[in-house]
Amino acid sequence: MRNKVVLIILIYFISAACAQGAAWPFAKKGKIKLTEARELYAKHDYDGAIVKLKDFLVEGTVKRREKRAYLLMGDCYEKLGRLDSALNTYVEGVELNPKNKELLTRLAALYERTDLTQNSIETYRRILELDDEDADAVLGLARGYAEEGFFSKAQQYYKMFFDLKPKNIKSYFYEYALVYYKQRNYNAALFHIGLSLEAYKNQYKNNFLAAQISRDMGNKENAAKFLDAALAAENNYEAVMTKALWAVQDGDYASALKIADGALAEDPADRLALYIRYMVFARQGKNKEARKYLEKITAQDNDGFIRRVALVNLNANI
Amino acid sequence: MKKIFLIVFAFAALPGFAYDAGRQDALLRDFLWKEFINTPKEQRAKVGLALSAGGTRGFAHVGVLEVLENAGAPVDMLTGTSMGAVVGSGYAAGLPVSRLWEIGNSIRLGTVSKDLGATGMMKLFIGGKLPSSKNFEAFLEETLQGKNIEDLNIPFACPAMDIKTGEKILFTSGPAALAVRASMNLPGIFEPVEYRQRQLVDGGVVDYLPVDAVRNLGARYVIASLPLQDYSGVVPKTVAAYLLRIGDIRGAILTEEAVAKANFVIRIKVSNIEVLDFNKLPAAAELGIRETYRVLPMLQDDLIIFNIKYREHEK
Repeated sequence: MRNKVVLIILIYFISAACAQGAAWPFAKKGKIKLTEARELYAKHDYDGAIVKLKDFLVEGTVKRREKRAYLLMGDCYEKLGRLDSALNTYVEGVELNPKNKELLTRLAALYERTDLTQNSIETYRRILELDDEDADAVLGLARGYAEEGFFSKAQQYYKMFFDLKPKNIKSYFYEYALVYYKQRNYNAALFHIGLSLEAYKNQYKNNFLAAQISRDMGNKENAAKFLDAALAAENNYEAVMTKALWAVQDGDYASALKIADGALAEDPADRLALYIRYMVFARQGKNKEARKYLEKITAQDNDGFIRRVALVNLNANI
Repeated sequence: MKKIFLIVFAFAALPGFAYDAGRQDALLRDFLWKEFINTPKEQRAKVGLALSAGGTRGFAHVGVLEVLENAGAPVDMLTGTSMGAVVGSGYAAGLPVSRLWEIGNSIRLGTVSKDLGATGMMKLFIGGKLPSSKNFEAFLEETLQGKNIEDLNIPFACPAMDIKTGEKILFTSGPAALAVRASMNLPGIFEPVEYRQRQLVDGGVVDYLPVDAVRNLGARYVIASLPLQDYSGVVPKTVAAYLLRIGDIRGAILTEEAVAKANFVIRIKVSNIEVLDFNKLPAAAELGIRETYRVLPMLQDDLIIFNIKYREHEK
């Protein structure tokens, strides 16, 4: 009996050693391919690296669960701008390694970059199931929900993110303020954009948002001040035309006309500038003059909002 | 003045200064939208909101309300059927959207009826007595602070049906809690609500999407919220589930006429949520947010243009 037991154990060890011995050359060969792929990646030969990685990942008909290879291959595709292939690589990697945070994070971030917001939200949620303190996933969810218009939820995740990373939050105050602004919670929006301005005083987007918030709160003076600061930081069409629109609203028609003329000098078909001219004359009761601009807009070949609104005004009794 | 010259000069300094037409549209939309929502109520078209029936997936209306509120869209009057009545009455009573979310997170079938347990089932099988939704009325009474419909902050109405005559009964006054309970009192599932010699059941059978009702309250522009079921993913497992689905499909088919009368319809496609799947209320609301936010610029465009025509007409 004892001899039989010894024999069985011996057979077991011999078989295991044989199996390992048989697999060993393949494993070694695979490892070489992975190393070669890394070397090619380092030399920026991403196509070459992908060929090696494909060989490495499929051994016969069996796919390896090698997460490092999926990460590297996804990265190569991203570097080449082949985002669809990168997505497929990460999706496959995640299918084979469903609990790998690094692969999930790459996948979620790529979903986010390619505007597949719902997928990114779902993937970030999976990351949080694995680690409820993953700050990147929390921030990803905040941004995803903000993108989808779910601002109350976005706000909750921003708060969570700030709790998780209290030392590095200054650069996120702009987007946090924007979430409040989109909820028309102007006091909180102004407070947070103020914090953002403390850190980045001369940044266009901070000043432009501060201008919008101030204007919506009825503080025209501050709005004008921030808008000028935004324009000083960057000559942005959005800010210039906003200035013209506000001038129309405030009855400062001369300023509105000058700005619109500047835009029309650059592009005679600028529909917004034409509409501003229309509004200036219509609001002064100069309907005949106003009508000319509506005709110019409606003669254009497009079906955008400005043309449609011009058409309605044209058909109305103006 | 000097600044304006600087800005004009700046155009020349910008490379091409070409601007995407979509962004130009967005700038003007934002400007005209703010002018519209800041116009006194008397000087603009009155906006009504009609919230459809649809059981659990009707909770998508909460998402619709959240997006509209964030955008500052006026809701001058509102009507709702069944779950639309529950959500609509809460909003009309002045509950913040955040409170509606809380309700969605806490409400369960047991909140609607305490007869759905073993005792209730005994009553049904031995006494042939349907479960009562009285429990829900008590919940609504507390939520709506015992108000009458005519005392709500926003004009409100909700339809129910008299099971004896098949007539539509439109509640525009009286106890809000009772009216809302009647409006979502699923026929064949809960016993009818007795009110002034009438036996009232869910209004979804006769007025699934109450567009006419909100027009009668004075709305000139009607936004309809209609969560539609994508049935492909769920097969009913019980007789009751089959009956609920049949009622639901029939009600949805009857919405075509109402849809045609609305100015703007927010169609929310909801899948994998059955009529009484109360655990999925927040998921339905989330779908409401997503779809409403997606169509928001289109709604804003349409409402701005409608208001221009309306003001011209009213001159």
